[in-house]
Amino acid sequence: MSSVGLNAGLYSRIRDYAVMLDDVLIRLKSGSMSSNDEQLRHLAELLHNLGSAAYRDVESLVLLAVLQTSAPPDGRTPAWEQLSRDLLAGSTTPALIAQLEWLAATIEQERSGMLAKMRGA
Amino acid sequence: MLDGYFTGAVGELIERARWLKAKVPRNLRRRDYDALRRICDDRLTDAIRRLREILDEPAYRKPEFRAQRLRAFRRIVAELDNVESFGIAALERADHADPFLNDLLDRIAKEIRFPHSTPIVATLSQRYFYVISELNLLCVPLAEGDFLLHLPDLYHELAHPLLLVADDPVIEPFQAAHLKGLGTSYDYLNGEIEKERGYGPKQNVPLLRAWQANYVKSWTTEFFCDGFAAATLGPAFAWAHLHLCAKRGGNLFEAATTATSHPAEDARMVLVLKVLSQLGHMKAAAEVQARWNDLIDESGYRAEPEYRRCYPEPLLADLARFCVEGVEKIGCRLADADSDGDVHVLLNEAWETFWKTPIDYSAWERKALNALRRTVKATGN
Repeated sequence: MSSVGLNAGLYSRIRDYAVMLDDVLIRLKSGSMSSNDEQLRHLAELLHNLGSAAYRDVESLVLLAVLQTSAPPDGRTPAWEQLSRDLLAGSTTPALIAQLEWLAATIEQERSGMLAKMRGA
Repeated sequence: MLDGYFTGAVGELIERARWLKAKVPRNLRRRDYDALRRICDDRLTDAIRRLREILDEPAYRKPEFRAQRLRAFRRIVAELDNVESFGIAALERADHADPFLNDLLDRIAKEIRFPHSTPIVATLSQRYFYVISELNLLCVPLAEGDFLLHLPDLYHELAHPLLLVADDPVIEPFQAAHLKGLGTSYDYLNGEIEKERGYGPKQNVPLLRAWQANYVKSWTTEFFCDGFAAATLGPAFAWAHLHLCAKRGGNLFEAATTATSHPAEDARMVLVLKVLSQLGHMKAAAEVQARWNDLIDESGYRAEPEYRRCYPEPLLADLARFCVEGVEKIGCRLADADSDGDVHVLLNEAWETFWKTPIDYSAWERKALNALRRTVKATGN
C-alpha cells in the first residue's frame, strides 16, 4: 500500500480522538457535562489506559506513540490515571482543563500532520 | 476575533458541501457503487450539520472556545476535501470505469471468505495501491486491471479496513491479533530503551522511541496486511513484493531514523516468508528467498546492526504467527497447496510462468487475462 492509505487509516483514529476531546472540553468548560456522558467516560477510560502498563488497547498505544514527541508547557507528563479519576469525579479545575487543552492541541497537531502526509506533503 | 470570518467562511463551506452533494451521482448503472454513494452522501450531510453547529452554537462565540471552533472548522474542511478528492472523484467515473477490477475483487473476496463488505475499486491512484478505509474505497493506478503481476497487492489492501471496523465480533479476532502485535513490538522497544538507560550511551534512546512510534502508528499494521495477503493468496504475494521492490525500492534495509509509514522492505519479506513457511509453502519460500538474495546482492545494500535491532527476527516471527492466527480465527481461507479458486490459481500461476519462461510471459499474460475477464464476467464475478 502507498503511504496515502496507511496515513488515512491512522488519520481517522487521530481525528476521532480530537473530536472527542474537543466535545468533552466544550461541555466541561460550559458546565453542561453530565456524569453519564458517554464521551467523558470514553475519554476517562482512555486516559486511565495511558497511565496503566497493565492494560493495553489500540487507542492508548497509538496515543502514547503520538505523545512521545510532545511535552506539556510545564515539561511534566500528566498523571494520566489521576486525570482520569478527576474527570469522572466531575472536576473542572483550571489545572485539569489546561492538561486537556494541551492534549487536544497536541492531537490536533498530529491530525493536521497526518492529513498533510495523506496528501503527499 | 474571527467571528465575522467564520460567518462568511462557514457559509461558503456549507455551499461547497451542498454543491458536492449535488455532484453525488443518482441512478448509477453500476449498483456496486451504491454503498460508496451512500457513505459520501452521509458524510456530506454530517459535515453540513457540524458546520451549522459552528454558526449556531452560542459557546463557539465565547473567547474560551475559540480554539475548539477553529479546530472543528479545520476538521470539517479536511473531511470535505477527503470526500471530494477520493469519494466523489471515484463516483464521477463510475459509469465509465472498467467493471473488471470490481468484479475481480468480489471474486477474490468470495474465494478467501472475506468477512467484510468488499471495497469499491477505482483507477484513480497516482501512487500505487491504497485503500481509504472510511470510504471502503480501494485506489489503483489506471493500467492495473490489464496486468497480473501486481494484483496480489489487492489482498494486502483488503486487510486494512478490517482493522478499523468497530463492534463486529466476526472480525474482532483479527483486531485482537493486531493488538497483540502492537503490544509485543511496543514492549520489545521498551526493553531496548531500558537497556540503553541502564548502561551504555543514551543517544540511541530517541531513535528507539522513533522506531517504537513507527511500529505502533503504522509498521505493525503494514506487517499484518502483508501477512494477511501471504496467508490468503500464498507465494504470489511474496513475488509481487519482490517485483515492487525491484522496480521502485530504495534501501531494502532502511532502519528509519524518523517517522516513516512503511517498515523496511527486507523486514516485510522476512515476515511474508515466515507466513508462507508456516502454511507449508516451504519450497516456494526458499525460491523467493533465493531471488530476494539476488536482488539484495544487485542492489548493493547491506543490513547494518541498527537494522537487526530495529527488526529482530524473533519479533517478526511473533508478528507472523499472530497474524496467521488472526486470519484463521476470522474464518478466511488460508492458502495452502490444495487451495483452489480461479483468481488464486491464476495469480500464483502467473508468477510460476514468469520465472519459467520470462520471454513468453507477456503473451501468456494476455491470454490468461482475457480468459479471466471472460470467467469473471460470465459468473457475475
